[in-house]
Amino acid sequence: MTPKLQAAAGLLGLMLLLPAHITALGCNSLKLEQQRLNSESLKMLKEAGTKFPEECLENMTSFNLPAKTLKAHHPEFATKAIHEILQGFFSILSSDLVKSDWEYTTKTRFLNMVHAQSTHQRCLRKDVTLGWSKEEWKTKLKLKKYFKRIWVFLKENGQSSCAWDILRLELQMGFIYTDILTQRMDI
Amino acid sequence: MMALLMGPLNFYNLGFSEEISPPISFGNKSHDTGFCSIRMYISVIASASYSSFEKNTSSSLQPHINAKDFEYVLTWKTGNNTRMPTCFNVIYYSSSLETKSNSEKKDEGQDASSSKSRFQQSEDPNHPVLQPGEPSVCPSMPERSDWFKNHRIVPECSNITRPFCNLTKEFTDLWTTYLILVEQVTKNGVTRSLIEFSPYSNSCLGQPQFNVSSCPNCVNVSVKLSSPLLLKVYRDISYTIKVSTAGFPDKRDDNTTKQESFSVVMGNLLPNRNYCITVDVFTNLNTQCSPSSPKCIITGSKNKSIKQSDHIIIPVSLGIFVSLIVIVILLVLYKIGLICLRTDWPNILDFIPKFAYSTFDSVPEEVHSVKVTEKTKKKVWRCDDNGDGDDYSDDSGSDVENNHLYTVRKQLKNGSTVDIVEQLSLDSSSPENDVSEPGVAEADILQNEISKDESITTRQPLCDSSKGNATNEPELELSSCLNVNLNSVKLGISINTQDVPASLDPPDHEDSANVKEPCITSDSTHFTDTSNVQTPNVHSLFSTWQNPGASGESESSDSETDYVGDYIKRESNQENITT
Repeated sequence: MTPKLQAAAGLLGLMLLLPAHITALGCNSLKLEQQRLNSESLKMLKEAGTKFPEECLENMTSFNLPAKTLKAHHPEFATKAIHEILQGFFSILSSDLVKSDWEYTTKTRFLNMVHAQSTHQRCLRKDVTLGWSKEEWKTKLKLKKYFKRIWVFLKENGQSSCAWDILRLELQMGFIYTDILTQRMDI
Repeated sequence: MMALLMGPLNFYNLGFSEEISPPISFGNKSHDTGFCSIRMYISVIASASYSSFEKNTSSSLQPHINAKDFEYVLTWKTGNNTRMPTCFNVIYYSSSLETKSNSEKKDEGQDASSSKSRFQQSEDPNHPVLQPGEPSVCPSMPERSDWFKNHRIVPECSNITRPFCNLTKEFTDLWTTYLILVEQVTKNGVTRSLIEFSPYSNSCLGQPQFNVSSCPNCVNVSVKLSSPLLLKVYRDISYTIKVSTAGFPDKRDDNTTKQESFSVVMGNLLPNRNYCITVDVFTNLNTQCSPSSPKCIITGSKNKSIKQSDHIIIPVSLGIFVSLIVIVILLVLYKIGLICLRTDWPNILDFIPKFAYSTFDSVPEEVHSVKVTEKTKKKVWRCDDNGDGDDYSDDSGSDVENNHLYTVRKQLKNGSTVDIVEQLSLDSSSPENDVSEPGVAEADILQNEISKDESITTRQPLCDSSKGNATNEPELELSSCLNVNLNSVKLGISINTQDVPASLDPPDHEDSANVKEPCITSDSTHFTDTSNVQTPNVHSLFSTWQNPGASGESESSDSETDYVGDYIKRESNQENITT
């Protein structure tokens, strides 16, 4: 086993332990962890695609991430919206619909981070009321439709060379939204 | 020659790559020096004027966006040295553009296509768009493919020869990701280069403006953010204030703010020491474009004059304040009445000085004599009954003792000599005289007196010494007078004590009803004089009267016949004396 593989295996092991570590933390560090996830995710996505290929411009598809999500000014609402976005991204990336340029370790690390943060958000269930308001339901439905559009696109063009770059742009935009919502968490 | 021509261009690119200043030629806000703007202006003119003669031999434009406080300037390299006429177009794409109407896009596309034929003399970067009728050096634009369907050509940056474009007005959506395409059009063809840009995550923050002021052990840092947009977009801004001095570790203050202007006091600093302060701002995703330049200050030296004046003003003001408080408290106490100054009595109390007997004046002579008489009676009783020396010196006497005497009188009433006893009680003289044993020989009396002197307490000698010793207190002498003040022996005693009346003031004028008079009017000196001349008969009488009191009342009460006999014996003695 080469040193590079050993380092990758060690990193993978640490990433597997990350969910348990984050779950043990209270909700006090939820915002901090979310901010860290946002910055790390954006950094990884930027490194993944150094240059957007020109030929992919012809296949550019807009999935219309609902801007209404950003109207979630209430902390609970913002946290629920973040949770929905993270869940959607995790389900898409964990599937085999898209052929990413990421290495396996990078993709695994990314998925672990997203999953850990989603698990960490469960600590809010004790405090946050379980009900969804009408506005929250609307936003949730819009997000569902948004991810459904991505699913449809990936099913049709998932194996193309441009699918991953187009999805990467959507992931960037989604984490920007998540970062904006994180500022409103105030936990 | 070519190196000379490329000199200004490279200088211009260097200026942008270091992000020293945004291009002020577009009318943007700029906080940089005029030197940079002149330098850039010259370099842009030079690069634009020579670019039309360059040959386009490079396909790498390497576009780059300088985004500072949400002002975006796109720059790119113009390639190698060519004399081919070169024009540039800036086109961008974003997902938000798809929401725009198709008609608007068509208009923009027509504008872009029409601008292709325009000739742009790009000597002035402030007017990058060609005016109609101007001769064009740009080659004809080839047909664009379908991927331009969602594109937007920047009108101000189409068919330009300058290698930069201000996209501040274009990028209104801060939360989306833009794909920016830069086209380089030459006669040989079109070269494109694409970059991604997100205003939210790819912008950097401008240097905050901050001022420092010193205090004795601290530095006050007032910070103002470079743009109010930062708080609108990022909601809260993190900042780091670093205070450094030579020989000591740096002090940092990491915090977040939601205010455009704020001030922080960095304490626990050494006085009279030079400190350099830097303030940097950042967010979760954004950093400061360039580190802020430090500002240095010496603690505790700048505001020295102000501090000295403070040292004077603060104690003086405190002193005045405290004195005012004391005055107010005193006034309140005076008003309440706790403090009484020399004032006249209230009207209601004006009658007090009009009393006949002022409490502060001495007691008149005649009134005092009456009171002394009452006291002496009580003292004699106490002396005889209880033998208590403390009560003897007490003027007031106790009602209990009086009551006790009264019971004794009652017991005497029950006897055969009721009339005599009542007479005694009415006379308020000592009843002990009645219960003394009568008919005792002088030798026995003297013997009893000797035995009393040996056994009695400190008070008894006072009682007995009044009969034998001439240096007793006047009260004792007075008590001796009272002892002989019985109605039944009124004249007999005055006769028996032959020498005493001689010393008293009115001894010869006393009658039986006014036996008290000698005692009342007598002074202490008189009593001392009389004590010296007391006869043994009187002394024996005292001793005999003292005995029942000292031995106990029960004994005296049990022998009523003896008391009667005693009285009879006195009567007989009186008769003997008178005879």
